[in-house]
Amino acid sequence: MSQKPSSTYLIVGLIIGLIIGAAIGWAVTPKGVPQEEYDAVVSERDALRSELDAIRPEYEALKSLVGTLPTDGVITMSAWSAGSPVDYYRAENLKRAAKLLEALLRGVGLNITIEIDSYYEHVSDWGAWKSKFASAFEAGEAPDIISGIDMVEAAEAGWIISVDEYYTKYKDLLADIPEYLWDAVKYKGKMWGVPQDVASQVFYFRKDVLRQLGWSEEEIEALPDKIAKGEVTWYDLAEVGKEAMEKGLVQWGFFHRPNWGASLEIPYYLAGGDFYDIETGKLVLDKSALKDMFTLFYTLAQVDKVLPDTMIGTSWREIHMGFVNGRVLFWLGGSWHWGEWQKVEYHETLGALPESYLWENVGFALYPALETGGKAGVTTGPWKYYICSQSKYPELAFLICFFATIPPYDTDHALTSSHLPVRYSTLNYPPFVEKGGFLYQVSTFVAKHGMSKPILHPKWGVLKDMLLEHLVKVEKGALTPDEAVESLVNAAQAELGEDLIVRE
Amino acid sequence: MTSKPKPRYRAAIRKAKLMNFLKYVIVYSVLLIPLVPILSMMTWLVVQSFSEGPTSGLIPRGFTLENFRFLWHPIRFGLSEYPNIWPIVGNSLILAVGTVVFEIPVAALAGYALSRMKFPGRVVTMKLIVALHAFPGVILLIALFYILNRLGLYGKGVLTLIGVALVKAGLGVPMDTWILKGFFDGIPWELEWAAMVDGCSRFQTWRKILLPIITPGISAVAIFSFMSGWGEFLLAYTYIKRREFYPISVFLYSVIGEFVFVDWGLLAAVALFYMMPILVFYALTQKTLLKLQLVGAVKG
Amino acid sequence: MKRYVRESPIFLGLTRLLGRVKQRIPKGVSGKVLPFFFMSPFFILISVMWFAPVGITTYMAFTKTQWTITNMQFIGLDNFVRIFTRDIRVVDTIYVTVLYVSSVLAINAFFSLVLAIFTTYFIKKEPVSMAIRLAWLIPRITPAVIYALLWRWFIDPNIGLLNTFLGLLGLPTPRDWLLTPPYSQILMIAVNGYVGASFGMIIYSAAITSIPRDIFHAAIADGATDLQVCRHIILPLLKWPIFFVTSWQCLSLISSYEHILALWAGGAGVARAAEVEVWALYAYSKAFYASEYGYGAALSIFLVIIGLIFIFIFFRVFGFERMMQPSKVEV
Repeated sequence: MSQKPSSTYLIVGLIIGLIIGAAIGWAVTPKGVPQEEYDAVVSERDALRSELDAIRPEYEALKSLVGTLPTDGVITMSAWSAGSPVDYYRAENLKRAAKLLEALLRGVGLNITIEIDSYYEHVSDWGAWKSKFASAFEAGEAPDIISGIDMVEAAEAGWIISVDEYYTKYKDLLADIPEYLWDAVKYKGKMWGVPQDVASQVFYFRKDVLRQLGWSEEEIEALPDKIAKGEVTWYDLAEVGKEAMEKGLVQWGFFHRPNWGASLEIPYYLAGGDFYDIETGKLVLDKSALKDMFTLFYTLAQVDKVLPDTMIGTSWREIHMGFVNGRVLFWLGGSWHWGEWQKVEYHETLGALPESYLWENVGFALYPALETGGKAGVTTGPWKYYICSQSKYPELAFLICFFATIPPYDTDHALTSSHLPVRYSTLNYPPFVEKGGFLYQVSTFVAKHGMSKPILHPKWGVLKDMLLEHLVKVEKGALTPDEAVESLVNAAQAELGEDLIVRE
Repeated sequence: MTSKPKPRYRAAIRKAKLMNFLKYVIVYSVLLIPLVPILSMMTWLVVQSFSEGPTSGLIPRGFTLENFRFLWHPIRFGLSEYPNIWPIVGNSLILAVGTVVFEIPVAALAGYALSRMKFPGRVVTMKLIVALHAFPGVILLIALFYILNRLGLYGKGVLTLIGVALVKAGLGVPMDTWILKGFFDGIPWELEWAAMVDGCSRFQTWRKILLPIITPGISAVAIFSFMSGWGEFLLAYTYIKRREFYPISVFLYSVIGEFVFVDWGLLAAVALFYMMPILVFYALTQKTLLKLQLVGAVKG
Repeated sequence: MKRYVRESPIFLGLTRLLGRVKQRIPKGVSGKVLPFFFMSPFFILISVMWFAPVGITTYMAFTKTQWTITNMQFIGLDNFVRIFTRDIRVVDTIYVTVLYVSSVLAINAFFSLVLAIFTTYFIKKEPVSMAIRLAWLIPRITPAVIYALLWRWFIDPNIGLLNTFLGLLGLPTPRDWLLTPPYSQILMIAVNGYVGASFGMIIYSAAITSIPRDIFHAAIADGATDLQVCRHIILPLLKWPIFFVTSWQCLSLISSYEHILALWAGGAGVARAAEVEVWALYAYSKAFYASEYGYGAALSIFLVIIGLIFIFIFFRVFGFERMMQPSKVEV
């Protein structure tokens, strides 16, 4: 009976093996986790997943760059930005954007360092700035990113490239910048720049003077709304200005800018006119709108005498000091003036104004309608970054320009320069909501009533000069509105010929 | 003669003295009253640079040396920082001294040749110098941009500065040659002949004997060239890429801004500092400047 | 006068010496090569800095060169046709330029004469005279940027002093000197006049101080009044300097624009709005603000032509030639 003992050993061995196996199995099984902990881990994982999904578009898009860029090394780029002394974030944000892009690129496996020389200049002579850029371009050493030059000229001269292919590629990301801003960078059917901030006109008034005229706080607070609805017109406000002047509360009812600019174009637009026809790409003059515009300024300057006839040609310093010290009731300005008044010592006793003073004494609204029930509004337009045609990394440059306006950077620039932010998402960004009271309100009414009127014609400068010349004559009473319209249209047709469309 | 002059004489003398007095009143008025704006501007410049805030008229607001901080501190504008001022001064010096170094030898050589030597085209050259004066700087500027581009002088740091100095020198040479020719014309022949008879070559005569004599003329040319180079802005601004190579004129331009946000005190201090070398040069060469003879005047 | 000079011992000695020396000229000294050596740096520099640009600009005037300066397209006389027929700004620009040149010339050539006579003849004390002349040189030596800045301060209605002084004198005090004609034009003339006056002053002073004092003493001893001295002694002797300064300044002024550009800086349109845009500045703004280099070149060439016409007149009418003859070579 030698088989029987071996089968016994086998069975015993099996049983022992099983027991050992079970013991080992029990030993290595992880301990159970309490239910809450388990739930927490799961929800964390889900949140991370949604965040990853949020930047998945960036991630996916950037993945496409693999293969077009070196996988490591240093990429040097340069950028020239310009503006007034408070717009320096235009340059700073490019630097930060480059760092951000670096990090994102590392995420897709490209270990490159982007070194960007972001130069900022406080420019007063834009002609010299353009020469500087043109010379650099001719020497083959133009910066990758440039701003502060005329878009039409730059496109025609071949200095910058069109960015349509990048727009299409990153369309989802770029939707964070409003559509109308992208329209403002279109010329001859292509897009030529990246919007950086938004300049908007704002109609300011002195609340303290209105109080002295006997207006109640509710009336004052309700004024912007009434203007927006077209219940209070420009001529109504002219009456208010007259009253204030007669009572000796102010020296002048209205001040406007001393040379041609967007704020002077608004009455013409509100009257239904246009200066540029996108379809044909030609300049336009609408005679009836011109008449309404000239009539307005004529009335203000010569009839009601609430606007000085030497307005054109006054120095900026005079203008700001006039309004800031309460000697002028209405100022046809822009959003950045709110910031400027807090930084430059215009006030004769307070110097640079604290924001509290502004909230207390200065109100803001849309530019009023010309007739009751008419349209009120403001014009808005973007500051643009351009990509130079000599750039070796145009796509990277484009991305840097775009990332330069993510909410934290956009907010820094907006708060410093008092221009409007360019992204939708900035309007929900807590620091901006918290500190950007003024800009927030302006953004709100711009969103509803803002007009984007880009004029992208090489001869616009010529037409502007003529408009200014005629405005001066109208304000001085040398021409009546009708005469001015005739004279302007004739001169414009003589000078511009084919490039001009005249409408009744 | 008896002691006292008669009353009539006294009256006549009084009248003469009065006329004399009036004459001097008129002379000094005409000379000094128009100077009032200039002198007040200079006074303001000094006062403002030491004032804490914008002056009201010529009265400073507080006294401070802070405006001169750019001498020992980098200047910040917004988030960007300007480098130390002294390399910038160095750049201006390269420009200005470069201009002088290029202009003087060329003008001295040509001035002498036009004054003393006979060669075909001599009179034509002199007419040319006069004719060149009719050419506006504008016309040259456009083409100079073209030439500087072609010569590849964009953004090359010190080389660009030297290139610009050469341009400035070239622009000033005709006038300087004319001036120095005038000085050479004023030296009597005897000196030269004496030297040459003693065995000097013409060049040696020029170098060792004549140049020292026309030192006043050379110093006049020197100050004009220096001022030309020191004051150059547009070419430097356009062709110099990196901020470290900017001369002071461009630095000043950045400080000026649009006269809106400007820091008046800093601006005045930088402007004063910028003018210093010229004022020094000016003080050293005043006698010469006041006696420049561009035209063979009286003996004519 | 001439007789006096011709009989002076120095002159006689010189002529005798030169006569003797003439026989001793070593041959070959005034060789053909040496002048070349002396003149070559001059000609090289002039070729690069003057001839080449002039040539380029002249060619450019016949091209359409826009935006990129190295990209030129020949279009013949079109730019010039445009100047004469199509450009509506030409008339105003000519008016401003004529106003500018004539007014500033009056200061630079004639008021400076007054300055020179006053400081060298009337003021006997040398230190005072020098001090005043040095003060009048200040505008010339101030760098253009700073000069413009100082004027900007001076005309400021709030913190500047111009209106204060004018008020004291009972003269009108406009708020805006910079942009309102005719005040802006008065400012333009003043700003440039201050700079230009010193040129004439220096030249005339040098000429006057080289008149031997004895002549004045003799005239006064003979009973001449100061006015008669000026009219009969000084002015005739200054004939050539006056011609020279007038012509030279006229040429300079036609093509000048630097101080106007510095003061009315701020882009195209500012100078135009203030009606101080002289022809040269117009050419500059067409070239550098509108990037129309070809047209700017054409406008500049037009100036050159006018300048050359003036030069021709000066040579013929004023006998410029004679000023260039006194040179030792002919002896």
